[in-house]
Amino acid sequence: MLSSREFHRWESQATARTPSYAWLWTGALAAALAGWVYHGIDHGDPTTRWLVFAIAGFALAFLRAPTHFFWRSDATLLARLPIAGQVLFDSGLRRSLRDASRYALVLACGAAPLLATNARATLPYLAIGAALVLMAAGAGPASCVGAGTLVTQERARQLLAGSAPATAPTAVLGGLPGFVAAIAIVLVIGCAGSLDGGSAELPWPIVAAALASVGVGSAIVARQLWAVHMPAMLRDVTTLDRQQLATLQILPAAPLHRLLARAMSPAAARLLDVRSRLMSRRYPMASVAGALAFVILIAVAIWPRPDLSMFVTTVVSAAVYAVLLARRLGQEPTAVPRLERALGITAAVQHSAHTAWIQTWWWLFVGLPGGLAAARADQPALAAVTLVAATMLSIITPRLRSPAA
Amino acid sequence: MIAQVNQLSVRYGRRNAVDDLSFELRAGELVLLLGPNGAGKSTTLSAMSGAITPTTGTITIAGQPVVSDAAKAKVGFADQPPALYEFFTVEEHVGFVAQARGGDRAQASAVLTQLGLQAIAARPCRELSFGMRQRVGLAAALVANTSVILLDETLNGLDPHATRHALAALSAATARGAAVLMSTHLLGSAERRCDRVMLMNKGKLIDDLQGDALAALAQRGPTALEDLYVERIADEGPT
Repeated sequence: MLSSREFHRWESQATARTPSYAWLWTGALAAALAGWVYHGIDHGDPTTRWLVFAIAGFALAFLRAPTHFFWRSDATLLARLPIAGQVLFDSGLRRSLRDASRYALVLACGAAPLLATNARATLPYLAIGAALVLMAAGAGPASCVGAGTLVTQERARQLLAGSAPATAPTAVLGGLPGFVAAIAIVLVIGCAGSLDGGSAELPWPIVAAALASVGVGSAIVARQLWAVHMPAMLRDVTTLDRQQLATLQILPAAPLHRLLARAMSPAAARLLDVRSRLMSRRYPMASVAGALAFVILIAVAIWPRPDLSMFVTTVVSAAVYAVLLARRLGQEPTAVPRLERALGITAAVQHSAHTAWIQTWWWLFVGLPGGLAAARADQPALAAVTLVAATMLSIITPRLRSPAA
Repeated sequence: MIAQVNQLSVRYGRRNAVDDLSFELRAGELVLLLGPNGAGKSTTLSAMSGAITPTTGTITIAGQPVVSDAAKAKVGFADQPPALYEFFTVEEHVGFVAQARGGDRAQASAVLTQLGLQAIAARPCRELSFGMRQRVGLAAALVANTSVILLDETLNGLDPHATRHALAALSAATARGAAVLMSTHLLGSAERRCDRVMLMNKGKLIDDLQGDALAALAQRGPTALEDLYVERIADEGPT
């Protein structure tokens, strides 16, 4: 059987050859955050800007964990090979640690202007940032594997009881990590008042210590208790993927996608139709996150004193999420991409369909409400530039996505 | 019995893809699994490979549950189209699968030679044509002396030379005691070499021809199996 080290060697070999723009995006985000925080010094809210970014980045880093553990592109192959659960867990953990290290780098660069201004006052923020990094690196994987174990055991229980699982209990796969991330965010918001030395319900040292210890401790516990279920998780997720594919035709594509498809080539229209059905089933969080961005941007637009920080944070976070969605579009952990390749669907057709999907999401949830909010912002030119830059990013990312490893 | 499928059912939503299927595979036999699109062939093969969890029923490989590591090390599977690590070379991909099953790179090289793939051993999988990918998938299924080889339309897209290489490799596998279960729509070369034919429709096994029955069918002429297929599936109706 492959040891964790041997599996890592194979995986590193594949990763080294896979084109990836992750560090490029990390650098760009780090520079953007540093610039934005520096700009905030003149406006009196640099730490707020940094903290809002830290929370948004944490949510993104944390919620990527499921794609490292069970929604991975090679799940079907790995489920069939005799690979120990701990080896698969370690592989997912390494991927989550890579994400967390990129997140840490962005936060550190973003904190540079704060450190240069007042290093002592910045330390509480850095402590909270470090705790969030540890949470993303440890509790993300742990909550994922915990959710996977629940699903696996629930399926086993249903099978033992002699009842076929009529509805796949998949909600917990994204729900549990989302719940844990939400608790961490609420705690950080709860202690935000104490970071500047003020009073708050929760003192920041306690929150930082709690988050850091939960992050490290939960990863250790998950490896000891739940990693053994990893092969069953991969198998069950593969089963659920097939169930979803089999029932794909039941749900129609979204009305907007059907409308757009009329203006596209037949091949691109067919692909958009499949993508629309698949994404609505596999990534319902895309609509939830989009709706959240929509509500915030509309709130910014109708607020008596529109907040530019909130606008920029929302638009930039949405752009980063659009980058992740573009990658998801091209890295379905199912047989679909391979089937498309076998059917000879070209890169140009894929690009058209993926761009159409991303742009529908972008304009519906971010572009249109963002335009309204930008018009009412206290610095409309800066808001407009941010929105245009973020829109351009959402347009080019489907072209830059990395092929599945 | 090297593999045993007992009352296997796999349900997708409200639809039974495989419905109460039972059969056994014996060491050294090459079995063709035939049926129309949607008959449940791929789902049966996937469940036997341990990639999907059956809704009900059991599958054992050499007496071990298919999900056990001991069973997984004995089962080779080739998807349609095969799942390959795109940024590995052919040799690396097959080598990785070999090592995961407890084999080594020398076994990977031997299988590549057997299938006539040495010339493309250093090429990245992402650059391969459809037929080449099928052959690499077959190599990954055979490597490390697997004793149950499950092939999902793996002969599709192969040129005549590649088909000969593939069938020779499968004959060699059955000669060493492996059982091969292969779904295909291409009768002909495979039909002449098989020991048994199973016909599926609507998730059920509707015919299992072997021994004298298969020999008697072969006596009826080169298109006898195709005629039987058309007759039986027409009776049952497509899914």
